[in-house]
Amino acid sequence: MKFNIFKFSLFALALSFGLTSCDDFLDRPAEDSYNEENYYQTDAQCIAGVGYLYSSPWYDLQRGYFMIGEMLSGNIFQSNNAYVSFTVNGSDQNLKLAAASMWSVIAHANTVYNSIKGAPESVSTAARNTSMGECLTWKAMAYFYLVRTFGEIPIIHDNAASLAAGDYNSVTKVKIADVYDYIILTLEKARTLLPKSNSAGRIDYYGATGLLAKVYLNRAGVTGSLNAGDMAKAAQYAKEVIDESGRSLMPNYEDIFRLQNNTCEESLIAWRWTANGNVWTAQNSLQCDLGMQGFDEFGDTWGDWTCPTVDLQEAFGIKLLEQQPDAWINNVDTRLKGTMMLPGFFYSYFWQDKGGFDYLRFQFDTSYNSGAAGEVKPGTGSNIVKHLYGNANDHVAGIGHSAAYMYNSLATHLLRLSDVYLTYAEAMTGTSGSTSDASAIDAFYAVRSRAIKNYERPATVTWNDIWKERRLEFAFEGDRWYDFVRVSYYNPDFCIKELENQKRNQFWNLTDLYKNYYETGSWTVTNQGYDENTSAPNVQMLMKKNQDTGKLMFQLPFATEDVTTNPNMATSADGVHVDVYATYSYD
Amino acid sequence: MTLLGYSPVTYAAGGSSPLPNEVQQAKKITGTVSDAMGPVIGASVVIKGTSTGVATDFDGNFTMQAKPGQTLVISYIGYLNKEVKVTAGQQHYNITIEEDKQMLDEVVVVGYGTMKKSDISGASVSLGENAVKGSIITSLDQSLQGRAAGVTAVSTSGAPGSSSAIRVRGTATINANAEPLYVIDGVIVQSGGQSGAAYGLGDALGNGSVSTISPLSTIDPADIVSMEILKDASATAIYGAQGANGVVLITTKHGKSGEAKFSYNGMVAWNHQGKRLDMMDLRQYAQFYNNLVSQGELQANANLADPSILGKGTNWQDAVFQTAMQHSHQISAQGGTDKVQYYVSAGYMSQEGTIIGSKFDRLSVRANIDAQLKSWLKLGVNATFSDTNDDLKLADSDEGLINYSLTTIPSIPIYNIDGSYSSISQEGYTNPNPIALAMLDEIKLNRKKLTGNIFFEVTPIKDLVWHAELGYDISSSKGDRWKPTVNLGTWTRDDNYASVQKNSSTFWQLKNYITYSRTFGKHSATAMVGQECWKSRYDYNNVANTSLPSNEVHNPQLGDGTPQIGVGYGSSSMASFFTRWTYSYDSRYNLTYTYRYDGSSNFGPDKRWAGFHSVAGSWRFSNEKFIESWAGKVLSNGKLRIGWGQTGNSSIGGYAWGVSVSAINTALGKSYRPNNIANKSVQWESQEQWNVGLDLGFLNDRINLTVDWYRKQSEEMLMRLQVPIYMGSSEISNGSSRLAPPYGNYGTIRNMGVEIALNTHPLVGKFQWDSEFQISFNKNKLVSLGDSDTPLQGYGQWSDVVSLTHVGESLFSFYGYVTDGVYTSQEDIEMSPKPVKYPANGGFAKGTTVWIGDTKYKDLNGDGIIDEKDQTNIGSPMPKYTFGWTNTFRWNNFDLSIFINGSYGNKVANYLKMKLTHMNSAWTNQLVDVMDCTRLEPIDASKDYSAGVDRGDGQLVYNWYDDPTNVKITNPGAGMPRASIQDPNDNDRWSDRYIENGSYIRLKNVTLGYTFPKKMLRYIGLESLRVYANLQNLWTITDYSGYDPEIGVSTASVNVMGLDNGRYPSPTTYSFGVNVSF
Repeated sequence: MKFNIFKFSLFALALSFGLTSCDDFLDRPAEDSYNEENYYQTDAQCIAGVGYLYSSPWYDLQRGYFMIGEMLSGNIFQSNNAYVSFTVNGSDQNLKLAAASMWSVIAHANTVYNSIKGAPESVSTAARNTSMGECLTWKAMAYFYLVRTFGEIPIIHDNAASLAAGDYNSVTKVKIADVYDYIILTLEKARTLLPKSNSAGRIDYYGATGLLAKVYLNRAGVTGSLNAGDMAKAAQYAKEVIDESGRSLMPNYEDIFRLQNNTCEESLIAWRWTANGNVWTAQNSLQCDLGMQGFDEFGDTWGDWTCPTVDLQEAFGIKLLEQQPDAWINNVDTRLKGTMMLPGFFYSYFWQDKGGFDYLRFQFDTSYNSGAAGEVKPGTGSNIVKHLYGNANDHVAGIGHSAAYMYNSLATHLLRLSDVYLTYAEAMTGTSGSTSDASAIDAFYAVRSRAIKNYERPATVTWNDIWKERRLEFAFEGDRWYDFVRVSYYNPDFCIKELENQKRNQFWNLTDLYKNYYETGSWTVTNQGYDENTSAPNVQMLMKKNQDTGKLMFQLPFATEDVTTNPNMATSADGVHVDVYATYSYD
Repeated sequence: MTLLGYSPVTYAAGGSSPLPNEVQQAKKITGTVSDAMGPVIGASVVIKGTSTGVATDFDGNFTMQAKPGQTLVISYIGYLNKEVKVTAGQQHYNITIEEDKQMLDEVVVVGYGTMKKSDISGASVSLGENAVKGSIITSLDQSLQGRAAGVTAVSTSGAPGSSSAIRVRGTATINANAEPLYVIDGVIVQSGGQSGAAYGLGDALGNGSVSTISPLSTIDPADIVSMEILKDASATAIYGAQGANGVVLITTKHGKSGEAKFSYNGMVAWNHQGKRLDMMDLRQYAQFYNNLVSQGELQANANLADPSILGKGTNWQDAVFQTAMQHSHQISAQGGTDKVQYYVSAGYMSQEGTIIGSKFDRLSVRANIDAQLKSWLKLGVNATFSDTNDDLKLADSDEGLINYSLTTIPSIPIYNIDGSYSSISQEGYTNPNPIALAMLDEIKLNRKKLTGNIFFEVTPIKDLVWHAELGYDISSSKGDRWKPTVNLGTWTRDDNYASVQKNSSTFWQLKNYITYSRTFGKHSATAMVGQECWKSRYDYNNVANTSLPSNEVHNPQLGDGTPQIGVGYGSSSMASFFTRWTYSYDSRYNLTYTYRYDGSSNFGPDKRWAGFHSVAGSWRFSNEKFIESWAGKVLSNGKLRIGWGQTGNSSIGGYAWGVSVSAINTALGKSYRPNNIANKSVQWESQEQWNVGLDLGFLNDRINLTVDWYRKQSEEMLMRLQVPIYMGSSEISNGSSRLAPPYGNYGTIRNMGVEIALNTHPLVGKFQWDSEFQISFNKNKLVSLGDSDTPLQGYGQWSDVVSLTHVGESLFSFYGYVTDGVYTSQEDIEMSPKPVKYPANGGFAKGTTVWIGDTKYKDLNGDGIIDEKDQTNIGSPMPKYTFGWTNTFRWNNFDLSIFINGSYGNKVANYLKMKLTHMNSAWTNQLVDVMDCTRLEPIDASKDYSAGVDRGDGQLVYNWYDDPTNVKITNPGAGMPRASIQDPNDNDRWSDRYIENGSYIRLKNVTLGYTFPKKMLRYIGLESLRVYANLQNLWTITDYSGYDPEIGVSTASVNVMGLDNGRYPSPTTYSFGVNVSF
């Protein structure tokens, strides 16, 4: 018996202690994914390691993109929206998400930049530099959005280092001019790293340079009056892109926004979304917020009431209640149809499987659209076209794979070549307000004549021409508000006046008008009218006096909880001066 | 109290031997055996020196043949043997037996062994079978509520089989996992995931790290014989790194030798949601709408213009709640020989939820076998298999059914005339018909689990036992999501979606421990050393697709879309060594020391191992001669316990110390992104706890009092660094884009409290009354957050902060503005502190600036401006105390049990109310209360506006309601602000308006049972039969205005408790059941 016990014990002991004795038993890094130690080892890995900076961290900005960029600026109407009525505050969800997204881009860009910088020798200099340059350009882009949205902001140069230092709760805002310096420092470094030509869709040297031109144009007014030096710099960099990049404008304006042209030459910097893979945040969901119910098959569109303002219609020369449909159907500016849907418009590139998309029929014919409500939902009688891809079939036809609920693959262009053209033209107006420089007029003419075929080349171009042109060219592209912001640096009164005089309200009783037109072909205004009752917003609610210039300028508040944690982020708190070039470097 | 149905072994020989000659002179005697509390059932009465004996019946009576001069020996476990001489003249004997104070009470389960309760120096509570049986529960954790001092149990949802948030002695960590460690028959319960996402259900059950899915719902409560809750560190330290949140040891039923005994337990119940929120019906809604029109907020709507011609409209609440049926059945068999005993059971239960479409069922089987293979070798095998199915619905959160059913306006019908579901879309508002949503979309979860262990106990020499055990938990789950195509006119979904995720995991643990116990004279000592290691391996694969050809078959393979594949796997492990030494002198002085050394794969190579000590002592002063002589008559038990110990926490998941790089598809090809910022030096969270306890028993333990005081402090708390949004790692970002901040050892939390349990037997004899009362007080405090000052943030739904915990405060306090009435006039606005929307240029506008009738908030920091800095702590969700009181009455064969529990001093955040009183949209239904909101009227109705009037900044206005100088309040003192579609002042911001008193007292359970007399049952061949009726959650006394004040943890955000965003209310349950054995 004793022998049995002995044998039994020995066996069990050997079994149990044998298993726990080795250290390997407890060493369990992630098994189903790479980790920091074994990734960033090859050229391909470094290049793939920055691909997501073109989409995922930006995802939470999608709503802020059109709400900040287009609602505040008077291009998009939605009743009772805080961005339309200038009542945005620090607890606004979309604002917080937008901020979180922009700061997240910076955190990612800093982290990946450092990982690639520290990659082993096995990574070639070319791949290393290109990837690092892309990181820096995206970082600069995020700061560019931030400084224009929030005004003075803190600079987070290296997230891991800031976290380790533990001082992140007491950092201060930095003066706007210094933030611009930091962006310039970052972009200048990116330009030394990026190749003249990168693979399709990725940022190259000219993308960073074009962005730099725009940054200089924005910085030009920071001191309270336009700075000729900055304007010259902006012109210089823009010219470099125009002359040397070899890129050209897409001949037909509406084509820029089609899936098959996601990576067209005109697109210098873009968010590169994909529905392929169904990873949340890698996709474009703008059609959901901007497309009409029933526009696609996924039940994911609710943008009927998010519509172009009457003011934007009028900027295109359209007065719905005073003109006949001919005025818009045969409008000379091809951008109109590529921007907004109006009664009588027909889109061959949407609903291709159903023979094309008819805006009016969509609203009234249940055999065409089972959800046709028989009513005009948008208060201003039109809907948004940009950022829409169409239906499921259009998506497959455009890019080869399917869309899904809240997923599509349409790229969102953030810097187009035409923007560089107009930046150049504007920079050439300098401080005088107009230019007759041939190359500047060429640039302006190139943009405007693409849209308006019979447009004649002007002899001079004024600042005001460009100001208006930018609105039409980039409507709904998330940029218009920032035009106001940069002008408010040196001319706030102009901005206040323009915004307060906008037609930011809706029309009444459009359903009867549209229905009659749909049924009889006759456009007869009866009891329709524009809402004159709703008073203009008090736009100064979102302005703050610049501590250096004494002028009011636009800025949105920091998230409430950031202010609670760090009172230095309060709207009333002023930023400090930082000598950027002495404090930060990328070497 | 005596235990029903216990048969002492001495009874075995009764009546089987041939009668000796003397019996001829024997006569019939009768007797009654009782103890201090009344008759004792099943006591053995044996004639000394013979094998003749009987057992007492249900009333303590016995009848037997005995000769005068013989001695009866009455024995009963836990009691002193009593001898009574049979005398010639006496035929009836009333015998009272006394408890054996030396073996005062039962042997209780402690980690890695058992101990006599009298020798225990730590703090623990036992829950017997009755506590589990007393409630109608589908998940074991639900039975802990109000039953054990120091344990707070709050159910997360009223859904069938849903989880409870269990906190042993307060929340001691702000890690997502603050739940105690559950150990069933020695095997650590594997949760299988807390969130819906872990089961492949995505965000269908909310975005939080916890969901309502309970890991314990896979266990049939009818198989449980007892639960032991280890509370203080001297008790939990033996579980070392896993013990910081307390340990619940669960013991299942085992067989007893003897003839096979079969039992059937059956129950049928109806669950009912009685309470309704007072929402506007169609007429009231029309009035409300018209009021908005009169204030210039909305355009008139012809359909609503005359409320008197309207009906009541749709009652969406009635549509979404149902009376739900529940039934359960369990059969078991147990028995065995002296060498081998078995217990086997099979159970099935099925429960519908009170929200339409929700359902839970469970099938489980168990086999427990104990065998004495050799005199030195014992074998035990426990195994259980369960198969559960959940039909889940998202009840709470903004997208939950409760929310939708409350906010959907009464003018919408549920069905169209043709019987199909209706739908509606209004400006800025598209509503999926909540009933259609509940019935069409599917969220299903199937879980299968095989758990158990096999162990050997070897006794090579006397007093030495070596226990070797292999435990296992093999689980799999299948999570299905199905979204069919829907075409409800304005609400269409032309593409369907199917997703299936299969998870599987294998967990095994191997342990060996050797226990040596020895008694010499008055000394007794036990030494135990052991080793344990476990490994857990998981993998999952997920397949999803869209565009399936029809809604009939839900197989993603049939889809025409781009199939999505997700695969993941990983493992974690732990290795441990532990020891426990106990010493007891004369059962007066007891000392226990434990030590455990743990290594976990969750930490980096340099930080893997940590040791945890504990020491505790107790003094049983009632055994001291000088006390006994002084108070012996009254004081039957008196024990003072003092303990100190350390435990740890490592539950941060695998590889949190490094940076994993995960794949993400992009338009530029497959990309890889870092998930977090690294912290290689992250290490164990450690906890230190002091406990001082006093056990007192009076009058032969008719009154028992236990009081414990504790102080426990968690240091180096494991958590993600809290950072502001501008650090780019904010929690509000989407998980798949977020660069998470590092895990580290940042915080310190302290919990201090007192627990009192008072168990008494006020009435004994024919009519019995037992009372068990327990109350727990706990205070907690966030002592530090390391270097960070960023307070802990909790979110209501997405990124709206509702709770903030600053260093020095109690955890998870709600944080917001304090209201101070409404602005009554333009002067009032001008004279008051300036809100953010105060127009500096004097241009008041009702849609864009602060206005008359808006809520005034307090300027708490006195700077003349009302802004973020005026937010403050507006209430704590932590109760000051919780209590439970169980009363059991017995009379003849009836038993009545009444269980009351409650919570005092906690606040509930009525998040739902915020949405039901915001008054900034005409397209969401509101509480009837909003009809009494502040209304405005002109001061001078005849003022002429035809030429326009300057509103203050040069802009002309044309209506009284746009002219700030001509607006006054119709109904001052209304409390609720004006209704405003633009709501520029943000009147529905998070404020004390939504914080309510969450205290409640609840009649949790009333059970009335009847046990049929054995005499009667014999004729029909039954051994016992009991029928009962149970009422659960019959009534609740509370000030809370929502459905149910019991809220629990948030399924949307960590750091939030007691927030009601449409929590699935706990139903009232009416049930009838039967227990039969034969």
